Amino acid sequence: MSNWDAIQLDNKDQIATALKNISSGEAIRVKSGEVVSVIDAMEDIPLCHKFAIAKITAGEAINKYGEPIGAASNDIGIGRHVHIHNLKSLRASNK
Amino acid sequence: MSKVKDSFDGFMRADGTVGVRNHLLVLSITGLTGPTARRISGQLAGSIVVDYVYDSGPVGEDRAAQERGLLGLALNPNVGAVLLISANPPRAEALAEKIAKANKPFEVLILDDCGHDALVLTERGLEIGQRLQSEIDGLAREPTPISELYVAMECGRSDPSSGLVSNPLMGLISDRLVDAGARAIIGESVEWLGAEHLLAKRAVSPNVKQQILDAVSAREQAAIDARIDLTGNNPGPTNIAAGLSTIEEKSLGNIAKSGGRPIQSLVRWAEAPDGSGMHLMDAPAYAPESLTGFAASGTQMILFSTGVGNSFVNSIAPTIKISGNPETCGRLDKQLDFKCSEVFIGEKSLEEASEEMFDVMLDTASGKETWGEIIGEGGEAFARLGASI
Repeated sequence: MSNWDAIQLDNKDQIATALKNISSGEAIRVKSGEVVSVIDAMEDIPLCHKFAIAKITAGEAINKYGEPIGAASNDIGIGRHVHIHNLKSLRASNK
Repeated sequence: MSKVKDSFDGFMRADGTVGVRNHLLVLSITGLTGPTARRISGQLAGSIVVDYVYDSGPVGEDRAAQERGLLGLALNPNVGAVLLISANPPRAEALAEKIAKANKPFEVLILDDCGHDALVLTERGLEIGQRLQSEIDGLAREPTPISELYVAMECGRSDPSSGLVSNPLMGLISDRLVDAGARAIIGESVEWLGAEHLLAKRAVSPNVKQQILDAVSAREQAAIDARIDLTGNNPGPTNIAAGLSTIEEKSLGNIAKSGGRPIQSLVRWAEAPDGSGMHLMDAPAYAPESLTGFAASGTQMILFSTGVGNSFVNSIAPTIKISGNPETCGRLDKQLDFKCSEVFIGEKSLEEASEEMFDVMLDTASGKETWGEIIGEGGEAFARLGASI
């Protein structure tokens, strides 16, 4: 197994992707370029799911691959799961 | 050190195209004749059946797509001969005239000429079908340069591993095909939404750039007009459970399949793109419709990445299943044609995996069967453009 548990794809991203199932409380080793830093998981993060590696404010655009993938629908703390409950698409909106 | 392959063994066709398979296609173009076509094909080993059910229902754009799609499947280079079956004589005649131009062996069988008797149609179909089959049997494969390939890149039941590993891997294959003078294509245009600016930047002309932006706007407007929330539709429930949150996230992962070379053109569903290079198909994202659009546009093969697993393949173009998700690679070990989870966990480079993948693709082109071919998982679905997005 490799020396990291998650990956940040672009330095503009406030989220990282879990490369394994991560349990709440676990110290997650996050790879960003050549650097690996550690973040505490605040809840369970399933394989392939996203979590915050920076504080995110409600309404803020969330980046992945260095590009916006939607906006935060509420404040999100570091180590929190980021998914459809707190991240909304900005496209094809019927609202 | 393995030798880098620079050719494959294919079947030369009279119209100048090269097939990677040599099938008899039993093509039913009316709903009434579908069961007979399936019965005939079931009796003829090596044949494939396409059972188009709508006949005279579709109008306007759908009618044009139907005609383009049926002709395209018949002319696909993997089809060595065609047995066309129909309960609509004028439609059959119109299609037959166009197929005849490709100089491939074909016959037409009309239900009306069999006294409207499905059993008589079956008997005649079997007799003609076995003759066509023996006519194309024994055709030898010949060494063919990679530039003769036209490969489609698809993804289905995606998860974030698709955007991280298998789609970028296919992107490297796309670039390598393009650099060798071959053609490649991606479709599923609703899954460009949120990433269209990156595709548009690569367009060879302002005209193609505008076509890309317009295609995405039209799909987005269709979702708005249908009053659906894309989250839950695309990404669908399986995508969401696997970790994809929004269409933008899915799209950014999706377009990685197209590599980085210039975008030459945008074609409609089932329309053949002109010239080598990377092309786009503005077409529904649902895999069965998308794959049929590719096969009807002439692709000989499809590379198909999946996150959690997706068994569906095209019946005419061998479909190579790829996953980079470690759980999926373990669970569907024998059902995936190429596994790249070592890249996901950082134990292999994308470039190294793409070299292996390229060899798997060329072996498939030269006749090695995919899992989907062995198990007979293939099918065709015609896009209904009026309602599908």
